[in-house]
Amino acid sequence: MEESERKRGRERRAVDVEEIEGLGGDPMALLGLDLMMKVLDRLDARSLALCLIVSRDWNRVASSDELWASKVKALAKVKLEQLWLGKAHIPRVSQVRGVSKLAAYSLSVIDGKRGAPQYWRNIDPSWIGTGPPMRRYFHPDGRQTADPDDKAWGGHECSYSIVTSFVNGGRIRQNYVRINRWPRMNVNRKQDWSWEMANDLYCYLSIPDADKPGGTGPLNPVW
Amino acid sequence: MSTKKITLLSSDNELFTVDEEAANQSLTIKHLIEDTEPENGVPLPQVHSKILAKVTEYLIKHANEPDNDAAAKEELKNWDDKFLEKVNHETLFDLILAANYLDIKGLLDLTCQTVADLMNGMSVVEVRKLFNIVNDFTPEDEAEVRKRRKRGTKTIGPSNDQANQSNH
Repeated sequence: MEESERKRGRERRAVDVEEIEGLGGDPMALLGLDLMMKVLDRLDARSLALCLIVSRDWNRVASSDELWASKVKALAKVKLEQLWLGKAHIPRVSQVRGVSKLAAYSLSVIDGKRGAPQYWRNIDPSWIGTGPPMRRYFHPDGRQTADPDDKAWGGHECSYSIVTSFVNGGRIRQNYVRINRWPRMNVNRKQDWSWEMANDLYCYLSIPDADKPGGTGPLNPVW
Repeated sequence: MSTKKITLLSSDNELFTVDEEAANQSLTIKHLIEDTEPENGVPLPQVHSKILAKVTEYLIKHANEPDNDAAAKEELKNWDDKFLEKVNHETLFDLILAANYLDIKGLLDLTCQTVADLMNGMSVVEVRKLFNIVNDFTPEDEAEVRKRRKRGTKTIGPSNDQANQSNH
């Protein structure tokens, strides 16, 4: 009596299995390795994971990297599409052909967390919280000006130009807009071996240990 | 234009006749015809008549696959579902083996997908029951495999066990 009640309380699906019980043999033995892989490749990731603990034979086949690679790839593709959805900027390095979806995902996340480079923050006091934001005025005639006390532009009239450079043996053309050509900057070495780059508008100072977090330098590339 | 008929000979010497166009879906049969031009039927010593009957049924139905007709495609898909509905597991596995041997891609995909669909969403105990599989893990092994799965690694083997021991 207790036994039958316990049975009834079990999951309905388990009862379904009992109905077809006895019809099947182990597909691992019947189909062989190659065909078993074909079947397992069509499982979702959760069911494939469960196959690992069916038996020792199944564990050996279901743990094949080949099977998991396609699952991971499919998952990474979905995740990547979700991540890129509605983004204004997608880092170029993650779109290079041949970059795996997984690598593209992590590159994109890293790029998304990248803040403004340190030298920009140094230019604009509002970035580091030491002053009001700097303003740029775009006039109808195409000129741009700044406030007279602006440390970077200093109230002088500025201009822009389109700079074209050729990379990769002249096959790729890169365009960017350079706003406000700056007066020539002079580079000086100081007493403590640090560097200073300055013109009469602004002064850049080198940051010690550029390879450390927060430092600028080749390890913090700007794409 | 009358189409050429192909005769197939099962392992228990039963004959099945199909149009050449239908038979050519099996690359194995196609190559056998091209290479040997058999006179008394294409011998298929690996396929029993019980299975070959099912296979020819599939070949005839899929002889003219619709390209763009969505309704016809839907009808064919429904037919595929019905085709394997009443098939028991033994026959299903035999059909996979036959489709593999005869190199019929559509039938191989269909049968493998059917087995996978059976398994999707099942628990481990249910899968073992479904296929009459004896759990040959020791309780310690199983605990270890389950633990590994949680950690995200998925292999069991002497090399990993050694690595674990050195950690202790």
